[in-house]
Amino acid sequence: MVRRPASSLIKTGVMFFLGYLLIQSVELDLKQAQFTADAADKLKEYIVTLNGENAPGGEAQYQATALALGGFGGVAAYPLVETIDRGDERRIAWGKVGLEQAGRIAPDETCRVLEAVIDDPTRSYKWLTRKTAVEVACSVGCLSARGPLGRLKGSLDGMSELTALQRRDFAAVIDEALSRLERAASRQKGWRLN
Amino acid sequence: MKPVRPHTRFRRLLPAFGLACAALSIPPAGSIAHATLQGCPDSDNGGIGKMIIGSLEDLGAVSARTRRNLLAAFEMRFERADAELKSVAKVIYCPDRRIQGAGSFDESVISILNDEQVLLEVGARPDGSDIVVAYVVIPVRRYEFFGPPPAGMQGYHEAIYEMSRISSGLDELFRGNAELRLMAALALAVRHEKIAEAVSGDADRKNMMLRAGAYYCDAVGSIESAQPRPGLLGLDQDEWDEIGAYARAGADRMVEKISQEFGTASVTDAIEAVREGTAAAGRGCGEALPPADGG
Repeated sequence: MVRRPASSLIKTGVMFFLGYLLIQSVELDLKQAQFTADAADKLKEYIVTLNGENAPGGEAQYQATALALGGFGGVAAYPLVETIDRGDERRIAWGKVGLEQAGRIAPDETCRVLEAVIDDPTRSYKWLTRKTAVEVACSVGCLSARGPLGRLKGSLDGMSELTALQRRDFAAVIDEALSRLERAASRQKGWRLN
Repeated sequence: MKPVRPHTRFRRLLPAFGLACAALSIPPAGSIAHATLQGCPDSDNGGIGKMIIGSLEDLGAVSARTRRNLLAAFEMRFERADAELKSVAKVIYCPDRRIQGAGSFDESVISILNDEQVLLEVGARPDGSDIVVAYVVIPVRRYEFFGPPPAGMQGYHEAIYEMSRISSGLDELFRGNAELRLMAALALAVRHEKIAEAVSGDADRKNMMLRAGAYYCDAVGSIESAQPRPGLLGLDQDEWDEIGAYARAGADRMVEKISQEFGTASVTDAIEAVREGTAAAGRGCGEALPPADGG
């Protein structure tokens, strides 16, 4: 009987182990790719439903779709902003619900998107979209949005498309957001000191 | 090389998918700067407001011809009310818009409709042998019901009419358009009062306050004819009482403000002008208005 040296057994064991890791890695990649494709399909389905007409479940289904879309976090933020910018009053309201959901799940990424909309350096968005972004930034608690909010407030007088009443109501929403965010920031500061 | 973690790869891929999907599925907005209204043709009135009539197609129990008649009469009366009030509001018929109860007019939706300068939304639905006509007075619901502070008038009111009256006479159905005129006057009054608070120039502010006072008075004048009818038809009695009290309080408040800031003689002049003279007769607000000489 030929006795294998211990080193040969170790080599075989290592080979098996590496092979196992390789297979696991490939399987994980395949599963991940499948998951990504499924998620992208879902994302697309939700966006199509949210922007489509006559969903069988009516208003409740649109609400649920907005929440599900928001569940994708920051990834869903721009599609939701687009829905708000191009939608009617119901879609704006649903888009807002979705954005709030995205903000709770991925606050940093969503807040970055909201700040970009509030600042809107290229004037790409409607003023109602920017107002909605202000409301969501407030409800989500985007502390970093205080700068953009201050700049927006300063530019309100130059927004000639607004009537006096629209301007006043818009300013009230910005003031409310700034005040609530300042309070949130001071509470956060207080906890850190303690 | 640092391996790419699966969830990182996922996150990198999804935005591209998301944006591509969004771009493909959302209809282009064109160059319009305002939001569209669900089920309505695109309309940017550029004035003080829009009055929306929702679809009447749900009234399936009536014949198509009667439905057309109803719609025509409704639009005619609506426009008449609009013309009498001398507003610059535009009446929009939205064939695909259905009214779904007070719950669907939540704070977000109302805020957007108010920003879009909608004054009043009217919609009808069948309810057994009756027709329920819902009136959503947007500025009242925005500034009173949703505050701040949130309280006060709902701004959503339903009036009940007998279905048989559609066949027996359209004029009878809306009884000279009393509810419609009342709601339109209230919407215009609150909108003008809020504009008066927002404008900076004295002349504009005075003009808006005068008009707000005139519209409140017009609402006061329309209260009696919108009184609930026997058999629980028309508006709900409690709501009617509340609307009446609200309109009278508004008229009193505006008269007081105008008197304090601009003197009393101009109040009656403006109200006469808004009502085109004849409409003022017997329209109420007499007790709320100070006499022309200010005494």
